[in-house]
Amino acid sequence: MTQPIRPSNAKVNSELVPATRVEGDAVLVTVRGEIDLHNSPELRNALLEMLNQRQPKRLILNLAQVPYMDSSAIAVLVEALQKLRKIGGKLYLTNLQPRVKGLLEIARLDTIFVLAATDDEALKK
Amino acid sequence: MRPAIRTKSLIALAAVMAGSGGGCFFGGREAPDIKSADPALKIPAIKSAVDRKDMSVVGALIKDLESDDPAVRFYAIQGLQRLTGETFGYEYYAEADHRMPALQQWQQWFSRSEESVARGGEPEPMRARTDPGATTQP
Amino acid sequence: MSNAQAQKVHNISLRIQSDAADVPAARHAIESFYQSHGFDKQACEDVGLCLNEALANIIRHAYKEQPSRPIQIDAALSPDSELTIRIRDWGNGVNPAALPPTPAANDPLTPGGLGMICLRQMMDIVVFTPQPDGMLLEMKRKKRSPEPQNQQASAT
Repeated sequence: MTQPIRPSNAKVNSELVPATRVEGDAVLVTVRGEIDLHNSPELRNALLEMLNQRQPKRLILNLAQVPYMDSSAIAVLVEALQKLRKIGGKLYLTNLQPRVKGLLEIARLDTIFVLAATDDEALKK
Repeated sequence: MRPAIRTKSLIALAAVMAGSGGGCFFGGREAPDIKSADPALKIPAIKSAVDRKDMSVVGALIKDLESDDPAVRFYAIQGLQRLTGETFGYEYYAEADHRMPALQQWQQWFSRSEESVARGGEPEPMRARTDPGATTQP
Repeated sequence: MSNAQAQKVHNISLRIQSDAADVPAARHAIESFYQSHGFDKQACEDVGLCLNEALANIIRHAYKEQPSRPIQIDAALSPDSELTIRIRDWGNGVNPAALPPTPAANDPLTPGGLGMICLRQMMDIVVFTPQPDGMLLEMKRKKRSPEPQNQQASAT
């Protein structure tokens, strides 16, 4: 999935990414809805553009409103993680619904992200 | 909550494989083959070898850690972990350059093991073959 | 439950076009189908994900992102609670299970790698059968305790 980032697709505060805020060295992003092949490119563009612009040390994704992800969505998270690692950053996933957590476990990817029950817990880690 | 273990009947699978007129499956017309370039043949062979605790496939699995197919890398490292208890920190999903240090550790470990056996000694010692936290079989 | 009811095979068929926007509807339909026959939520979700991954591979690889190409989905449930999903496409005959590696790809989870992992982890049998004009994928999942529940409960 070596697609260039298309800033015009990376909407800030879109339906998929309705909220973004900064707290210290952390950027907290709320993601909403089912994420699959159809809209994972939009999520990818949003995250990568934000990473390019802000270079956060911590990216915290609140997935409380994400009932479903497929492999293309997980690939977006892994790509974001790898970009963060290059700048010494970490990726946190909070409020995982069981179905999403289960997919990460199936793919043995549940330990590569920092999982937290809430955004506050992630901020304290 | 996800079940702790998913058991898959390899005997039933083998029966289906034998009778299948299908193309590329977990076998199909061709038998699973750990050396095959086709993941559809390679991966069931990996699973079968690991279930049999067949240590002779360790070298082939280490080669598979270099595969461009992340699914092959996934099953190779799962197999190596189950057979040897080791991962050397290998991450199947990582980019190639990030996987390199762990891959080199595997290759060095395997060389030492082969040299030891050639001298009439024991293979390189391995950690206890437990499956800590394993919730699914590969 | 009568003998005839106990032996009944349940089926559902869908035909969609190769548009990623239509995949969720197909997934929900298949999940609902199995849920209506007593499969537990986890099993239905696993099957739904596998269907999603298979359809994604068809759209991406068999049809190379061309929209408006046909995909036929048939889901069945046997009397012994084995579920079978068959997906037929009329694409380029590519078997995503045997895609050549793409060394230039930056995405660590290509080609379709994570999707294939999900299929192999969640389904017991995954068969790609080339067709003269495309591909047939058949996935099977045998009964796993404790699914399904309704059939046992209603037995008389």
